[in-house]
Amino acid sequence: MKLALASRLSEPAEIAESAAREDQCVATLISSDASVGPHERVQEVADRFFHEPQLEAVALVREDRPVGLLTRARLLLKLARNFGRELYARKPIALVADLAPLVVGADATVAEVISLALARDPASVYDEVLVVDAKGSYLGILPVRDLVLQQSVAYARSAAEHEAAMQRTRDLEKVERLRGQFLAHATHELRSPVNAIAALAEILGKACERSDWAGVKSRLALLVQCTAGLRTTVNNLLDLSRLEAGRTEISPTTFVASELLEGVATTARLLLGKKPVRVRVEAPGDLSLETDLQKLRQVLVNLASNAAKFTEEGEIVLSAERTASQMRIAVRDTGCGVAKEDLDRLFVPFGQLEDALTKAHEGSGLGLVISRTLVSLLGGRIEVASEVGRGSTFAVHLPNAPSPEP
Amino acid sequence: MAPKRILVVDDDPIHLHCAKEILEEAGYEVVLHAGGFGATEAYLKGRPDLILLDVNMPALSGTALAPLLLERVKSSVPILLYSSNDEESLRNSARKLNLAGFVGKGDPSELRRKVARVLGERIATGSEPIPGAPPPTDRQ
Repeated sequence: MKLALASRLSEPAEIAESAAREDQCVATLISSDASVGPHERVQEVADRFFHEPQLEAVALVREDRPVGLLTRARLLLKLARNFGRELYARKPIALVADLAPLVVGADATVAEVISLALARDPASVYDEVLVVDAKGSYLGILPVRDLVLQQSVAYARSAAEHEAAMQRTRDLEKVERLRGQFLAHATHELRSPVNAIAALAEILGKACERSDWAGVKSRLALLVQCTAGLRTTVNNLLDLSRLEAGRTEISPTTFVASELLEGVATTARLLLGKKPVRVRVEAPGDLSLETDLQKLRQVLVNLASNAAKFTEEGEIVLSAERTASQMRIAVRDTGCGVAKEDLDRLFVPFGQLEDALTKAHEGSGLGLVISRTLVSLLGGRIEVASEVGRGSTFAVHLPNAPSPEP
Repeated sequence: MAPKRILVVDDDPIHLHCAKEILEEAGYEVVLHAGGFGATEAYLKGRPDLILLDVNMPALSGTALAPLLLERVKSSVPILLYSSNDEESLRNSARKLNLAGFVGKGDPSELRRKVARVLGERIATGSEPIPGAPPPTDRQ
């Protein structure tokens, strides 16, 4: 009987739906090891139930093997029937017990046992389960209620873990999607100037055939413009991949902030061309900085180029000031500004890129991502404040002493 | 016969310039329009025989603009999608939107060939194909 039941445990079909989370062994859930001999009289067992209110069931054990199960409910039912007590009181307990209880091995899992328990006749579905060791010796009683409770906990945990896993999957899918968009965007940014160069080459060829040297000259200027744009995009992509691969080293030096800002201001003026925009530097002449000059310059040139690109009139102010704990270097402009809802996307890797088909801004859109990564490499951060139509301020905060990230 | 007129819509001034030179050299009259916005008005003003429409444009892509434009101008003017991204998906978009086709940037001879094919087909509607004209367009 019990061996047949125990052997069912090894059939995978019985545990097909058991979740991996319910793999705890039932041995830990044994609630009592109450037992009686199968020949003990019904009255004596009833007395024992009467004196032990906690006792829900006893196993009938012969020579350490479980041979039956008697639950409190079953005994009460037998005795409460007409003449029940008179009929059974002096009889051996085996007469009123369930002689085919569910017996399982101690190494069976919660899920396996529940699956077996619930497959029983509905009348005995909630009956206790008997546990035996590997040799078939009786170990104790397992209340189905405890099993189900255990399973509920496992389900709840598994649902939480499932949700967490789903969230991870969604995050990964988002990153994948953004990477795809990034690739589409980068591809277009590379192909567009290459195609323009190819077309210009043909146009130049025809101009040469016509000996139209003025035409050649004007088109060569376009060609140069295309190659410059292409070079910037390629450099940005290479920078980004180097930064992402963590192959960028920091070489701090000490330098005067205002000198750096004046250099950046010159670049900004060149980019502004004839636009009515004034470029000013606000920095104490003796303010010195100790950080990686080249990287900070790259960041500031990027911020100043953006300011020059998006400012049609007014001014661009490059400023540096030291506070108690840090250095603040800012690029302030009176340009078109950035909408509040778009601010977050400026620095998010890939997040700043819209669908390549509907890009809303010119340029590769990599400059700010690179700048943010460079500044964080220098141990600082970039903050942005902006108002549409009024202008933007991009501020780089650097620690006074360099503390590069590992 | 007056030359066929082509409206080129692109946000990139260099690509606009290149398309203009290549097409003018091929004997067409070329009207340029920078960016997707206002393209409908540019069409109504110039009444071109063909629109060469860039796909990647700020805020309003060519594939989004094409059906809007056709709807607004109540015309079946042929539109060729024009992009640096020479991808099957763009050919599919052109088919789905029932446009005249797709032409990649960077190959002037392909641009001339496709434009001639689309415009040639329209001239030859219901009659013999033009002698020496390329085989029928990829228009669906």
